[in-house]
Amino acid sequence: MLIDWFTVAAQIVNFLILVFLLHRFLYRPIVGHMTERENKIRQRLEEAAEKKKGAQNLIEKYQLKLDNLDKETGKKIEQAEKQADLRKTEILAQARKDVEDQRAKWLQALDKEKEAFARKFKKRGSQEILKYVRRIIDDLADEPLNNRLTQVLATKIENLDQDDRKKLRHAADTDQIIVRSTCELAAPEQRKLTTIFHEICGKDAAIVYQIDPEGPLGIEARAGNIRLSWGIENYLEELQSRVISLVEEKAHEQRRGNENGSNDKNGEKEDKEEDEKHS
Amino acid sequence: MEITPDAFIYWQHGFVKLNSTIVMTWLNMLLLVGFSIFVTIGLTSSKNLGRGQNLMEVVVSNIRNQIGDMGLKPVDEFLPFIGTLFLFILVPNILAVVPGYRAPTGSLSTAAALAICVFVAVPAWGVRRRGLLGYLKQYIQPTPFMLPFNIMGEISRTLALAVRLFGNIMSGAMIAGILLSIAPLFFPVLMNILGLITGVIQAYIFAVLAAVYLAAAARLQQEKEGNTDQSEKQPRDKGGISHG
Repeated sequence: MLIDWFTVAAQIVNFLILVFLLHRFLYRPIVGHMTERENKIRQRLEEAAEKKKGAQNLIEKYQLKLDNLDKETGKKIEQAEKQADLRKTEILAQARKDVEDQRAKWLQALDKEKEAFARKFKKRGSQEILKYVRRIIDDLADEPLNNRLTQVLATKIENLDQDDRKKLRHAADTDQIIVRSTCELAAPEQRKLTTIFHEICGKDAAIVYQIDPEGPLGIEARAGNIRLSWGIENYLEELQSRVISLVEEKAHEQRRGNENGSNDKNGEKEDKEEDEKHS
Repeated sequence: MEITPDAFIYWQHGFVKLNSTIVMTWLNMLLLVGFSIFVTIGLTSSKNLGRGQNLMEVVVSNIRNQIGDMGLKPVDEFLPFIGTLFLFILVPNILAVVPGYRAPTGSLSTAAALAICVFVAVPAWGVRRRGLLGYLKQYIQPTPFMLPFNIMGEISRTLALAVRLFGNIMSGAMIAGILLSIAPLFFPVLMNILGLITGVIQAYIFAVLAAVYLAAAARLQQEKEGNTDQSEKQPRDKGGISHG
């Protein structure tokens, strides 16, 4: 017979014992640990969800802070730009002022230089002209310059009208007549002049001859407040005034040229600014 | 040629005898319990699982999933019975490829013992869930005329359980033995592989059928519980509407 009932009973018992043992040693611990792990995972997921929520809140908080920071930064940048513009305007104004000052100084210096030049020119010119005039006179008259000076002065004295002669006479009575010349007059010329003065003022008139080598070419006779003279100084002054006017004219032209140049530059700048605005 | 391991008797004293079926069953029990103890000693609920724990967790969780799919709830109440049935059959069926090992499941006595366990467990759970009258009432459903057929069905399905398991495992061993004598070189290996597949399938079928029978006995009660839940809810809803 295929079925052995003792074996059947023994196998039933074996099976029941195995059910108990496996329940005790396998199912309960394994299921327990699986449940525990599931709980842990659930707990971790919940923790993760909470942390995620916290992180989200933190993100929102920091986002808000970032937005505020951006706004503040924008304001500060705007403020800084305004300050920079203000500073730029100030610096430009200062620079313009400095340029104006420099220009004024330069013009002053130019004026000074012009005056110095004129002075120098006058002096040098007079010397040169004196030299040339003397040489010309010497060449033309073929006689010393003193003779010509004496002759001119003598002519002037002789041409005096009666009133002037009277005044001269009165002046010579109270004071001495001083004859001042650039070069020393030769004895014949001195005598000639003395004779003329004696004829007008009488033989008692005191006549003193003086030399002024530093002065401009000329001759002068002074008695009290009467003065008779001829000199190159008048011509030199006229020459000086002409030279100065010439120099001023040139400086004026130069200044005008500079102003035109700066005006052109300013005009170009304005054009550029307008172009930028349009673009 | 013996077709059942019951015939190999190591020791006998009157009615009591120690045959190959019982000894091999003890060996299986020793293996299962020993491995379980070995695995559960080092159990951990952290993420670093040992290989043994991983294996046993896979086995146990799959058995629980299958029980849950059958509609048996709570799952952990049925796990020891169904799970042990599966392992009790699976282990000897796999070990059957070892030369000299005689699978106790190839004995009709073992199959009968397991079928008797199922035969007892089904009404036991039925009575426990639905009460004695409630359980007995299903034998006269849909009419009392069906009583003998229901009883016959109960007995025959138990018999079928036993004979199916015995026949499949015994036939596997028999075919291997016969082929060994005809073509000793290559075919027995193939048949042993086939026997492995058959053994695993039989363990699964036996356990699943037992679960189905248990579910059939317990399901009516569950459906009834479901109906009562719904009937309890309905008047509450109506009351809510009338008050509204």
